[in-house]
Amino acid sequence: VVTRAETGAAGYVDWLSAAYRPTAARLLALLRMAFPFTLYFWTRDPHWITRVPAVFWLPPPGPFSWITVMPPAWFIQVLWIVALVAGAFVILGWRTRTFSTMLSVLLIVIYGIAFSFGKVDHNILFVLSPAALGFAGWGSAWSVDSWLSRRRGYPLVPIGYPMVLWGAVIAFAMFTASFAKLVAGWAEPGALVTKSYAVSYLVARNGGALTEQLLSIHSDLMWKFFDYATLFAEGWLIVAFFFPTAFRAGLLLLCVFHIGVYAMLGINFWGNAFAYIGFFCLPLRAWCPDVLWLHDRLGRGRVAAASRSTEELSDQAS
Amino acid sequence: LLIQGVADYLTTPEAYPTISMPAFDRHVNEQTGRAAGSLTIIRLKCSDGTVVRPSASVLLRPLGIASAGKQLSRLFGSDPDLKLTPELSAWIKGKAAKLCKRSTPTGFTVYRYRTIVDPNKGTVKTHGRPVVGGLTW
Repeated sequence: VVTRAETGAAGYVDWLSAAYRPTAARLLALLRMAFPFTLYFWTRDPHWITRVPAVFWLPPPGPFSWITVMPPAWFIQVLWIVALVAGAFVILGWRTRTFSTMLSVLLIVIYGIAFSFGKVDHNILFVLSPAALGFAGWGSAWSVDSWLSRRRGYPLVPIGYPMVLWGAVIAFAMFTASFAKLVAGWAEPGALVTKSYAVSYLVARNGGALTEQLLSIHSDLMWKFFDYATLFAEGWLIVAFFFPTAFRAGLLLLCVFHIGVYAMLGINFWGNAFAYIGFFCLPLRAWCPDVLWLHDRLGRGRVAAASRSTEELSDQAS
Repeated sequence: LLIQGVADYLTTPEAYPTISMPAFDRHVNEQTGRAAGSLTIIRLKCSDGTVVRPSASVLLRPLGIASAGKQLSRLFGSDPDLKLTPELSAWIKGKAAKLCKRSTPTGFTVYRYRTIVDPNKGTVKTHGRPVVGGLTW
């Protein structure tokens, strides 16, 4: 159970770090081992890039726009092999922080090349997860690092501050989506934007598993609710981040939102699970430290009030 | 985070790598309840007389849906720098050959329409004349 010991901003950050610390090191270790497997078996092999004509090279604004010609096939193959090796070391948990960060950097480069043909996909949270969780200590259990550190007498433990920073990154990423929607007019009562996307995706891309069924529901109220729910689910994390219970509830709500998007538009964000799960790698009771803190304060308040009234009664009696 | 977020928001097309999630910032007109969209239709002609209607991503595999649409749009209009070289033509023909199965592809036409999406009626209607491009082999 996390308690507020310090005061001021530094104390609050310390408290937040403790509240976000993924104490279940073995769960975190499972996540560490699952990431490379997921990468190799469930994401698209980047070798497809080598089969695209170089004239289609169209890098997005940013560092990749400085690369004026498409990188050669061997370069992409080397990047992928190095990523495989880094992933293997992540699974083993040897120099976990270094290889996790290296894996994130390599994935940014590989995906940067893959996104240089006219479309940027939004997998940045998936790609950055190894670096973030590496610093948070996903190598603290079931790893070569943990074995070596135990032998040296300094067992590794997960730490919370990287999770605070990671939480801020997730909240901000989601906020960018909500803000853009708000500016575009998603909040206007007469605009059924989610429904307009569902119609477009059904016509152009066959939509998701439930697009037709959902479109058969002629309720403007329901469709407008989806618009507002989207704005809320993506936008409120920027505030909820400061309250661990609310933030965790927000991440669970996002999972529901992602499932909804997949069912309606056929777009999957399953990779984001790696970004979110770290915030749940601790005992269930510790998911809500602020609620416990509040409960504790209120409890103390009640005790204080009770003792005050007892004193008053004894004063009156005397 | 803020600086890169503002830079990313002001940049078109979207920058990479940035800490952001998809905007889906289509504007739906509140008065009419409609939104503007686009639709690409491809008609691939085969030597046996059959006509196949593949999506852009099927014709330009392994490019994804959005990338393939963008590249077709560049190829037939929006990007004067992208020239249809004999090598590129042959590459597309190779892709088209797989779609014609037992015959050979003789050419394809790309129609790029502006559309009006009406969520109230659940319809997508083409609007105006299409931008047409294509290739003959």
